Amino acid sequence: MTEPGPALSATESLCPVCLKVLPAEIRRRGEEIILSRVCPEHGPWAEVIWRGEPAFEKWRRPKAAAEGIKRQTSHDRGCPFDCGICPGHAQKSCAVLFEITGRCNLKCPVCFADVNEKKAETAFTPLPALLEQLRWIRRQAGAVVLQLSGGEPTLYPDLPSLVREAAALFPAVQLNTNGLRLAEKPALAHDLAEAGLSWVFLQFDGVSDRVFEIMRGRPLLEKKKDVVAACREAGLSVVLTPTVAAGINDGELGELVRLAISWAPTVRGVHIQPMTSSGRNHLAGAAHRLTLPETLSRLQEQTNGLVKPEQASPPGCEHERCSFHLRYRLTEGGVLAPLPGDKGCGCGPPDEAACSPAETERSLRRSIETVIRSWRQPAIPMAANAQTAPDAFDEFINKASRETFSITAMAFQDVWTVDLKRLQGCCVHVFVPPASLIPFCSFNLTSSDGRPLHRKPNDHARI
Amino acid sequence: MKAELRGIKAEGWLCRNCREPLQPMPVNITYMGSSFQVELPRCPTCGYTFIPPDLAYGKMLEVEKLLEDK
Repeated sequence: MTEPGPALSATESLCPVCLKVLPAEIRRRGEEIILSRVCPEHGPWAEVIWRGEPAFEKWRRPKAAAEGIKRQTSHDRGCPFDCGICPGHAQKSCAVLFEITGRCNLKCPVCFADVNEKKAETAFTPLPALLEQLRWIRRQAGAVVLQLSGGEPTLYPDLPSLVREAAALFPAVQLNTNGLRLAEKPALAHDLAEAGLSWVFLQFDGVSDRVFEIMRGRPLLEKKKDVVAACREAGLSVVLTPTVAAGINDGELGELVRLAISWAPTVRGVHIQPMTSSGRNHLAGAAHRLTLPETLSRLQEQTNGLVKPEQASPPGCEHERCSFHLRYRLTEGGVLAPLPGDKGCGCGPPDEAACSPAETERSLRRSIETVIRSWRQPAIPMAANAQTAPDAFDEFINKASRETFSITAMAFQDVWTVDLKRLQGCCVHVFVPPASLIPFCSFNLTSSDGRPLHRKPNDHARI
Repeated sequence: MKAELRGIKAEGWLCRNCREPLQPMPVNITYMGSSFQVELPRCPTCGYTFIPPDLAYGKMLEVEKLLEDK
């Protein structure tokens, strides 16, 4: 095996066994980038965090720490033990997950939320209590994208009422769902659309039942197609969200993108989440890990070069190594024409000082706006006046909004890959009652034997 | 497709270079490979086109945001 080169950068990570904070180094080892650290008790650990092109060294988007962050905890044991948002956190929220129930109608072998039988019996939190929590999130996190999650949020008895209240408080409300209830009860899709739901984030792991059987324990492809049909009928937009594991469903990414394009503009994009080893994941392990550049390579190989890794950009909001995004305009015959990527913020070369806090704030706001424009149902343009007929500009805006399509990916961290600098730059936060926001990867992180760092057995919608 | 843009009048505007009154004339707008025609105040002599602030900060900005990256 190739010997690792000199350290490219220093950070901190955790021992996968005892969760002790350890100094860590990022090094190149041939085509791979590894995160290495040594626990005095449990020995050395090295995990691949990047493999292939775009080169790790060129994938940069440094950010200054945001100012004016509302924090819920004080410094005590340090990162990552002090979550909620602690004095060491460097980014505000752009999205907040609101886990409204622990109940679920699937028992996925890969569930990071570790939903279990006990949670399946948990009583639903009454609507007034959830609304009180919603208002707390709005006060604390501001105008963010609210993600209704779980468990399976469509099992909540009065979901449309909750959505209606949420839509009045937040610029966008996303539903993270496996979709089964929408397939069984299409009227729910209508009720949610009417209540103001912005889009459906639909768990959609592949284009064959083999994949659903492995990842979700059941053949679900036809049900998923029914969900898309129900959403189209209801006027709800959909983002297909595959959890992707190397050797299981990474070979279906290209076909999934083609399927998504065939369903545009109801389907606005594909959001890929490489699988992590957190919670109840029986398929976890280094052999199934897919890094961001590998995800791009798979897309390129499986779309005959329609998707090109060099078109991808690092994020303006979360840490640079947490995601990539590609935005396209769909042209005749399902061809993807890349939209011009932004050139970052114009701050100096990557090795120089990061952006200003003001630029971090602007990027976060722009990121929220772009996400909303990319994923919501194309509608009458904002500038249009409903009193008069649309003019040529209005018609162009309407047409263009139907033709945009995005391919994005977010690489969540687990105990093997966790880099505390990335964690401190996180903008995807989970609301944890009664009053804290915890970075998503910190909240869901578990030790190698399944011991959670933060998540408690009944952390779904406690009163 | 209606070519006329609401609320944008040519009357009262002069071309600074030619001193000619602007006239409503068809203008081809091309963005991201798509073209469409609208009527805007334009100098009949030099072709200078006036884009009012309302349009620049309204629908034109909307188009740009729609197609910009994050």
